[in-house]
Amino acid sequence: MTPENAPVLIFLCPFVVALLLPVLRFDKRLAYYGAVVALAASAGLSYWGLTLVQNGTAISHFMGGWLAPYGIEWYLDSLSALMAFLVTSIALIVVFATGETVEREIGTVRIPYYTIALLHLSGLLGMILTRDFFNFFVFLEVASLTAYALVATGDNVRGNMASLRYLFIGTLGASFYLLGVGYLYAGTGTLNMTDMAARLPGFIGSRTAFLGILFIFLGLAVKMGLFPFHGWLPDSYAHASDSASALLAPLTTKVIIYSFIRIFFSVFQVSVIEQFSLDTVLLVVGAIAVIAGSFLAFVQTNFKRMLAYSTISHIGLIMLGIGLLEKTAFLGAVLHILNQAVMKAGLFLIAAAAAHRHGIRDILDFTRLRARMPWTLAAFILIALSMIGAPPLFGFFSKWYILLGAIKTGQHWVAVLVVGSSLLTALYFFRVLERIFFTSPPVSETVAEAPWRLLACTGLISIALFVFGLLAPKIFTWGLITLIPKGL
Amino acid sequence: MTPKFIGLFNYTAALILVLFGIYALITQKNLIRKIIGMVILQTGTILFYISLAAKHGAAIPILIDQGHHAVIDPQHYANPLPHALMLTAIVVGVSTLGVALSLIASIFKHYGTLEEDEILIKMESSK
Repeated sequence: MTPENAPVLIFLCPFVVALLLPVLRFDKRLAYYGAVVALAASAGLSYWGLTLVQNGTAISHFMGGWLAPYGIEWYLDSLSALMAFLVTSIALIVVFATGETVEREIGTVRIPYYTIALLHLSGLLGMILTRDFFNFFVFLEVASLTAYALVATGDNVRGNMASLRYLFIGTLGASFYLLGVGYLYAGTGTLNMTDMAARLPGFIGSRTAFLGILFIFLGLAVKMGLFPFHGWLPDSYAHASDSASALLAPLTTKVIIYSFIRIFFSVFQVSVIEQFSLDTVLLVVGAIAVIAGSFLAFVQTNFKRMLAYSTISHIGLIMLGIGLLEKTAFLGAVLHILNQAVMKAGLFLIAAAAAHRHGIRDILDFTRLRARMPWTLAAFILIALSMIGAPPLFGFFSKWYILLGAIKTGQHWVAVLVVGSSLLTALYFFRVLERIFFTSPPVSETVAEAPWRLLACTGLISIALFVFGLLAPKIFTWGLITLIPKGL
Repeated sequence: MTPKFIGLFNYTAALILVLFGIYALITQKNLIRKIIGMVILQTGTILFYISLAAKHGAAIPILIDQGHHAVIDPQHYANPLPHALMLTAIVVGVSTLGVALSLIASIFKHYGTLEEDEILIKMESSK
């Protein structure tokens, strides 16, 4: 366990177990426990990795001993360690919580389900940790292919159709990314991100560089569900099985946003973003995403679809924070990635809990929650308040820092929009709460809570929102030293 | 035929394939045709990479034992890296194709058609 191996060990835990599960098929319960143990080990290792790099240092691992720029480099710094820890711990909570849900929804094919879920997570971890453009593409496709399969786990054929659409759009995005990397490779002759960052300045003025950066931007925008390219996202999340959407929704888009930050801020760097006015693009697209996503969330009747549109609007908010090109707003955006992942995991677990015993999927039926599942309802109210941005909770701080950044840079319309996004989020969550509290359920019902694991994990997430709320200023001051990319 | 012309010809062909693939992916209503568009798009990308490594009259990059003082001049060799990368990209493309075809098989079993608009009508009516 030398520190140089930390980046690879984090990845290997879910990957090795994913490959072992199809072999160990004598007991179906083994798949669940195997997945939980693998993710727990991976989460523990990422926490260890986070403590190793907490001073802003970085660890490089060279695959097979081939030194960069010729070999493939894996890289653990504060930002990637933070993301790896986020992904593994959220995945651990979700997989642990959805044990019964998977049994009900997936039934006999649980072993392939857990194999695919673990492969998806290893794809995400690979994207977080690799320092090589082409290796990143491979993990992007590993994560995407498994995501298509996870979307197709829905119990009816709609899931398959949603998955196929996701596949078409996703392949378009991946091909754009690959073309973009091709242009940059043609210009610089390297695929290593550190090496690329060193060679880019001599070639950035050319049309090749412009096309490369444009294609990479388009590819990642498609994959993260940024506003005009969000078409695949609502259907996929709404029609996937509850267990799969609880795993996909909080993590996949957030990891692509992280990769966007990684590629655009530490490889291309701020001067390039300014040169191509990408910051203006991000601000405009983000603003439209915030407004359109919120209004579309407001008109939905399916709870999971509402959450999907909410994701689109909050991706827009993260892009606003990044597009301001200012330290406070940047850290606000990073914090928003963290708390969106935590809160969306909680909300999709609540969606799974409501559907599990009572088949509640429609917002109109949510009034039954009041009598049936009081504890789940309490957790839902807490997470909803955090989504809106109520002060002591985690969701408040990210919006607050983006707001401060907007005021500092003099972009007051962004500040208005951040406050407006809180109000819009309040609008669609209060619509659900109004339904719960101001209409009486059709028949008198008795308490029948979600399975204990689901309930415990939802409770854990709502408590975590308080704890992280208290820790947020500390994370912010830590981030000021370690997370800010060069030149910002 | 000059080497420069060969290079430009390749890139034009790659560009046409990519654009044609995107066009088919977006406009075609039949799911199989969409998949064909997707594969053409991927093939265009692969051609683009391979064209980067094309060199007129170049040797394969294998070191033949010419005694201990063999000097390797990169100018004489075709760049093997894009080929290696594209082998991986082809594998990714095949897996994508496999996933897409299995999804289509299950959609066809359920709806009995592969025309997207007919499927959408049947979806609406089954709500």
